[in-house]
Amino acid sequence: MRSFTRHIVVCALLLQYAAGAAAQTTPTPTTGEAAPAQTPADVPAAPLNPPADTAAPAPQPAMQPAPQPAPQAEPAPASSALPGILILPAEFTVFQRSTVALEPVPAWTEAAERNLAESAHHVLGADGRFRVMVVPELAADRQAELREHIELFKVIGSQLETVVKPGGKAWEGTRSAADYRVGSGLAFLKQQTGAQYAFLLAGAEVRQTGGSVFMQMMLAGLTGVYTPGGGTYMYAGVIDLETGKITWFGTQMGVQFFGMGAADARQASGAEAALAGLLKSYPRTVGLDLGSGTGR
Amino acid sequence: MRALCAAAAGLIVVAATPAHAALTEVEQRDRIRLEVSHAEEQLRNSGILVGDPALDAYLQEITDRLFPDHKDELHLRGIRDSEFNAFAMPSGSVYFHTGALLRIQDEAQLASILGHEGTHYTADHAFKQVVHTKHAIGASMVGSLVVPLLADLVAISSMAGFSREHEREADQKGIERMSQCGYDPRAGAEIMGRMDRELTARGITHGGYFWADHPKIQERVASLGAFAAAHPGGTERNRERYLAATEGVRMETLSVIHRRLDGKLLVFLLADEKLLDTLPPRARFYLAEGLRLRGKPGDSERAVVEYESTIKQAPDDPNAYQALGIRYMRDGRKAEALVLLRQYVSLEHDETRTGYARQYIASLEQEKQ
Repeated sequence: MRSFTRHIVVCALLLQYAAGAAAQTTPTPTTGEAAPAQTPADVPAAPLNPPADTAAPAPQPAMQPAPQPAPQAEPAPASSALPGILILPAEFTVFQRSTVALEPVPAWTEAAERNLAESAHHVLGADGRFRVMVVPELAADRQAELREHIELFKVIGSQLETVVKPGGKAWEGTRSAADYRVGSGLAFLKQQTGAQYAFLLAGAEVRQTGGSVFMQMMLAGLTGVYTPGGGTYMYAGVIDLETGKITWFGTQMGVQFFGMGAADARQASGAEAALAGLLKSYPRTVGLDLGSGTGR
Repeated sequence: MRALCAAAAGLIVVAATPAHAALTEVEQRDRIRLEVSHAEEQLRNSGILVGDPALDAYLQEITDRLFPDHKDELHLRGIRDSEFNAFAMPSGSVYFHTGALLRIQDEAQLASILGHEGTHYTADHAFKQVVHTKHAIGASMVGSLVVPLLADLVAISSMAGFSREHEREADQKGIERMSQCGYDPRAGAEIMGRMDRELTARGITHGGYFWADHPKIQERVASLGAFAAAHPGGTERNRERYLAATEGVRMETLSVIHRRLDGKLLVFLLADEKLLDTLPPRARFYLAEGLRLRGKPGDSERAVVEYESTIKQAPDDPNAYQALGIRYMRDGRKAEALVLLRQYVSLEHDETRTGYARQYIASLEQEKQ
């Protein structure tokens, strides 16, 4: 009895609100008060993702060396000795914002998810601290289990960003009390593949039509207020398959101004640049007390 | 200056029109499909789906009977929610709130709602509404250049009016379907009448007509009655079968309303609407609780009577023993309270729920000594 149109309109309004909120946030990776022991004052902030057409995304090791001595960070270990990491399919949606609607675009979404998964392979593989692995064919019940854990990670991820990230002493308790685990239910993946970690990325991108950009320009000209209407938001985590602990977490946000800027994950180069920016702080989780990346 | 304004206006017209016009129907449907798949995934992951294979199978059976021409397209799911609602997705999924199952009293009433929701799918209402909404918003943007506020109001009214047309079509086609299948078509007006009485009792208004996405309830009751008169023939009700298939979920829904502490609704449904007659004897406990929670003059005394009736009619159900025991204890009838609380503890198998009662028992026994 409840009309589907109302649902569409409500979703559109929510996403518009989310995009508006994104515009008010500093477009850097995880911010907030740094965990004292792990986040020195000179933690480099990743730059905004370059626009797709200007990105120079030659695959390169994007990760910084681990600050503490760790087995993964030691030079040139034999590849079989490296811990395996499963690249889970990216959970990413690309929307188009026109003058009249905000809608997900299937073809763009498919391309972005494919590009981001491939980029994760490149970037994590080039880093040299992991043996990159793909998720094997799973039985239906195992797929359902994996699905549940992915959804749980997305819930935790969105909370880490919105609840735990803000700085100040008042948040220290929240950060330390937060549960950074998705449970031990993914141990079967370790047993089945030998991998120790899983990498999961989620997020969304909003691309504007020319008409939408033009309307924004008109409104900005008339009111003097400009609200960005597009951008990219993504977060990712490295999950220990044995314990379910999220051992590293990072976010990346880019805002489009008048339809320009921010990574375009629909393009391979844009996805690669986005991943490089996202993983730049690795293995440190800026602002959260997660330990040193791989949890060792 | 005029030329500049004209140029800006022209650009706005251009900006507002191509966004939807450039999409093919296939592309638009693909976008809707993706959006719906995300929404349904959230529903699946939310934990509110009932997930009772027997209930889903029963609902599916009635749907397949109503829509044999769409047998593998429409899929029924129960949603754990105490409100009177159901909705169809353009994917063919129909979600039926357990609150609706509580209020329905026979299979014909169920068929009237399934026929309505199924028609939303078969008549492609979601797609039509999305396209219409886009056109209306585009037109309002262009119209705003001339009559800013009026254009917006016209657009909103147009969208709501379009939705109301679909609701009327779904009502009509739903009645036709159920009548063709042999169900009593008068059931549609009955269940809508119940919704009308409930909204009135709860003081829920529908909003201004021009902005409402559904026709007024009274209008729907009348039109459903007229549709039924135009399609006579069916007489099937299957009341007993319906009540047996849904008893568990209807009882669960009562407990959800109870947990919300909505005594007014419990009393309205169980006493005023006489749903108690369709439920097992232990449901009377919820009427007693509804009276206690509602707290109108005389409710407290009536609650005690209902607790006592529950114990007589459903002596194996522990809930009324506890509630009446606590009530007696507060009224100073300590010996009777002790007996009832002991009976509660002996009947309640879940020990985690008996903590309070055990404390009360200990305290009463201490006083006795």
